[in-house]
Amino acid sequence: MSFDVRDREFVALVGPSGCGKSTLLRLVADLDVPTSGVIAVGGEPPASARRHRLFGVVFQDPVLLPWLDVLANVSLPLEVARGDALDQAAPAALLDLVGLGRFAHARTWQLSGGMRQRAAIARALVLRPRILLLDEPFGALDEITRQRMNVELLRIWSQRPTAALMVTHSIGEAVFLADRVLVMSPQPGRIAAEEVVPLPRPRTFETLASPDFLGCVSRVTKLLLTAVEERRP
Amino acid sequence: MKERRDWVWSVIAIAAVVLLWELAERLVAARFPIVPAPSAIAAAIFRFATPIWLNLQLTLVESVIGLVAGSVLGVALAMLFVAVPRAERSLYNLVITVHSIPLVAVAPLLLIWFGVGITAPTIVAGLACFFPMAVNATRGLRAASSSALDLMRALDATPWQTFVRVRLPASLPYLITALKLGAPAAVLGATVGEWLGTAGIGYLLFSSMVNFQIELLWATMVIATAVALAGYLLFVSFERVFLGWTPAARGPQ
Repeated sequence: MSFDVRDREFVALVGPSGCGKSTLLRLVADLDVPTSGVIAVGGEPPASARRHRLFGVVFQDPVLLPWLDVLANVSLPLEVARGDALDQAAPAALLDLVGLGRFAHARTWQLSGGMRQRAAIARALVLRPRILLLDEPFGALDEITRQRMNVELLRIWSQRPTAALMVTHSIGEAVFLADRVLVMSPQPGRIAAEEVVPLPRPRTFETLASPDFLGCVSRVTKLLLTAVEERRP
Repeated sequence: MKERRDWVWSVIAIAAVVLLWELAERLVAARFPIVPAPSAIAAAIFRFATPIWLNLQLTLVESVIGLVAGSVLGVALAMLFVAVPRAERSLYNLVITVHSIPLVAVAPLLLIWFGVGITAPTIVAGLACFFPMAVNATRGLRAASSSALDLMRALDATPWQTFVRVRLPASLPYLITALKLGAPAAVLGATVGEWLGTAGIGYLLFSSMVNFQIELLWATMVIATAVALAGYLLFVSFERVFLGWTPAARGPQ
C-alpha cells in the first residue's frame, strides 16, 4: 500500500476490525517495526522521527499516569525531552485550549472519559508535532460524548494546525473530521479506495445533517462494503 | 465515611472480647491462673515495664535492620528477575525452597554460626520479610501497563526515564504491600531469633515461660503484638499519605 499525508491535512483511515489499521499507525509511530516497506515522517524514517519528536500519539486508552496530576501528565513529554525539544507549547495554555484549564491540579481518576482524552490530546500537542497520530481516540466513549469530542478535536486542531492521521472504524467520524478518507480492506491489509471529503470548514453539529455529509458517508460506506466483499471467495 | 464506621466497629468488637474475657475470668476461672484477666495483664505491663522496655529496644533494632536489609535484598533480587528472565527461571525454585525452611529451624543454626547477640535475630527478621518483598517487587516491576510503556517509547524516553517515571511508580503499591506484610514478619522473625538467646522480646517470652511467670509472659506477648501491629499501621499510613493515587489507598467509594 502507499499513501501520504500532506502538511496540515487531516486523513482518516477506516476499515473493519483486523484489517491492520492500528498496526499501520503503530508502524508510523515506531512502536512496531515493519518487515518491509518505507515509511517517512517529515522526510525521516519513523525511528528518527520519534527521536526528533515529529509526531504526537493519542491512543484509545488515554494512558494518563495516576501518580501525576493533570498538568504534570501534559508536561510529561517536556520532562522526558528535557533540553532537546525543538519547540515547546506551554502546557498550561494547552490545558486551557482543550478546556481543562480549571483541572490542572485535579487527579486523573477524577476526570471523565472525555476529559481524560482531552488531556491526552494536550499531551500529544505539547511538543508541537508535525503530525498527530490518533488511534481510535474516542472509541471507548459513548456516542454523544464522542460526537462532542469530535467537534472539540476540530476546534483544537484549527488552533494548533498539524497534519493528522486518525484510525477509526466509525465512517461518520472519519467523514466529519477528515479532508480525505482512506478505506482499508483486510487480508492482506491494503488501501482499497480513497474519498476526498468535500465539506467546508469549520464543521459543526449542523454539518452532520447536511446532504453533502450524508452523501459522503454513504459513498464511503459503499467503498468499504465493496472492499470487504472483494475479499470474500 | 463508611471506612470510619468500620474502624469504630472493629474497636467495639475488640473491646467486647476483652470485656467478656475479663468477666469470664472473674466469674469462672479465677482459680486457674494460666489465663490471667486483661486487667491483670495490664497491671503486669506496668509492673514489668523496665525489663520489657529494655528487651524491646533490642528487638526493635533487630526488626528495623532486618526489615530494611531484607526488603533491599528482596527488591534487588526482583530487579535481577525482571532484568534477566533466565535468572528468575533458574533461581525462583531455590528462593521458594529457602523460604520453605521453617524459621524456628534456621534460628538455632544461626545462633551456632554467629553466637549470641544481635546478628542471628536480625538475619531471621531479614529472612522473614525478604520473601514477600521479592515476590511483590517482581510483580510490581512488571505492573506498568503496556500502553504506558508504548507512550514512553513514543516520547523517546530512555530506559532510565521509563524506569523512574513509569515502572517504579507503578511498582510502589506492590512494594508497600510487601512492607505491610514485612513489618510484622520482621518483629516475629526477630523474636524467633532471640528465642534461644540471652536478651530481647523472644528471650523474655521464653524465659518467662520456663520460669512460669505467666503474667510476664502475657504482658510481653501483648507488647510484641502491639509492636507488630504498629509496624503494619505505619505502612498503612504511608500508603494513605504517599500513594493516594492507588485505588487501595482511596478506599471503597
